[in-house]
Amino acid sequence: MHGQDHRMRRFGLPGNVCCAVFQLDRGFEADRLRRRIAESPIMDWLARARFVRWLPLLPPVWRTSATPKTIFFEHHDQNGSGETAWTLPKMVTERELRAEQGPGVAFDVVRHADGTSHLYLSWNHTLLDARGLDFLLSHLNADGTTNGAPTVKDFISPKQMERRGTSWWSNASQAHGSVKWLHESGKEPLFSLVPPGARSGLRRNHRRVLQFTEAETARIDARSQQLTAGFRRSHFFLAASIRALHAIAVQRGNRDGAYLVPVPHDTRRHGAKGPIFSNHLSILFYRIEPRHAGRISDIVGELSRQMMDQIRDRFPECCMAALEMFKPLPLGYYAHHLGKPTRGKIASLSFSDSGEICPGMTEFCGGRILAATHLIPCWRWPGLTVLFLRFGNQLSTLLSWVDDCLTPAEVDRLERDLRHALLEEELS
Amino acid sequence: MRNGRDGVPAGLFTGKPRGCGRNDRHFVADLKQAMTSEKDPKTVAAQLCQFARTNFVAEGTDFDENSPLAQAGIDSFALVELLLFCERVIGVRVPDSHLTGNNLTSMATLANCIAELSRNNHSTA
Repeated sequence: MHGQDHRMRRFGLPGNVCCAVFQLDRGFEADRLRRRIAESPIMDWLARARFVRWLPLLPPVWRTSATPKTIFFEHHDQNGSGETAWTLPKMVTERELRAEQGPGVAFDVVRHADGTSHLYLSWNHTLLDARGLDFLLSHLNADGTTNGAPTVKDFISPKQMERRGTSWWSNASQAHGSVKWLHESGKEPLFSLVPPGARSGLRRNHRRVLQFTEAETARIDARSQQLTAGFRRSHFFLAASIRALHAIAVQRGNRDGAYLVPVPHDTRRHGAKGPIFSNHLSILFYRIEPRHAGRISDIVGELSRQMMDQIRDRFPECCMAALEMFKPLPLGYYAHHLGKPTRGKIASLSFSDSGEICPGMTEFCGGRILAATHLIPCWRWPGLTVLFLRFGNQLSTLLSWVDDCLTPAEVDRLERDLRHALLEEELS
Repeated sequence: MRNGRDGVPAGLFTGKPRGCGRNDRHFVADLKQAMTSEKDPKTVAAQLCQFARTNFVAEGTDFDENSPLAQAGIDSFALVELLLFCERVIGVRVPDSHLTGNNLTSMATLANCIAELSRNNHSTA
């Protein structure tokens, strides 16, 4: 995650920094949030934490600085209204959240003239993943009467503490198991949205949120249930994304280039209240050949088969061991090895299904949550990120792309095809 | 038969070198019997629940054979792990055609499906 942050900044992108946006009704108490942040030992640690690498071949470690940095900012928007707008204000986009300098998190509260508010919670992905953020928010939202909210003991798992002693060689032997899969899934030809040749100048990140109504969400759920018995909902979403990307690829003249998609999977147990800190993701790599990419049911069938094969071969554990093994290496060498199996292309698409944002949480610090989403950045490579998430009974999809990888017309087409694949296309 | 970790017959994955002695022949016979004989749905459901508790469900979370699987954190990844457990330990391969909403309602319904499959000779042995 830290490596990706560095790479993105080199391309002029805003780093591996995500932002959760909440639209809050009247009644939201900014002072209560400010107080909770000041009282919380977790927030104190996060405000002081920074990522340190003492020497190039030593694994990076977390250290805390003596003085915590400011992480709570309140703004007043006299002319604004609380309408849902998923564009980030300038003060949020310009905030630097670097893991090596700290702080890695920031809360921006914008109070509108009509009494509603927007909360922008920005965080560097090195510190937290999406589910960790959910835990952090329920920790901050809890008062003395709340049962089952995450506490300091849920911040970091004992296993993570033990991992400090993991040796490079024990990781190396397990990592070897990932080599076959990585090379097979990454072999040429692969389709990529990134234009060939040298990058021209610094690039910009764009985002678009596709909001589905409750009726549309129910229809998508029913189609997912029909196709995947309700247990492979992510496969349906991924299949729709690949189907939409395939339409653009065909338009660009792609014939043989396969679609390679690494998909993160949260490894926390159901019902757990933590760990909050760090990323707890394993990865599966899916490769869909163009001959399978034309029909949702064909793609879902391929995804299910490949998932079964990879888990059977213990690929996710091996892949995580490989990433762990490369951590102590200098960043350039790490990036070189990361891109090696695909000859630098990394992936055709970055995909994630975050599930439900803050499940069960209807209000935050006294204000009813009217709408919520995550705005995540896109890497170059692959140039396009598709994120599915839901808040309450409404599904939304975030398209995040780098400006030289997709034209505005292609983004319009991607949105149209994605909606069609999710809502209308025949499944069998 | 006494069961070890994950419901695997005790001694199967201990790493101890095995020869072709009398005990080993008995062990292999026991294993074959375990993998081919008709399954009792209640025993299978208990094995599945134990596997889920060990691997997917956090400590202190209510979970039993009648808990709805979708609400118990059984996502696509966990489902595959569960199916591989059925293959490796219970000895029954569940084909895709049987992964229906009805069969995947709870561990009890999945156990019934596995028992049915074992009667119809879907054993992996």
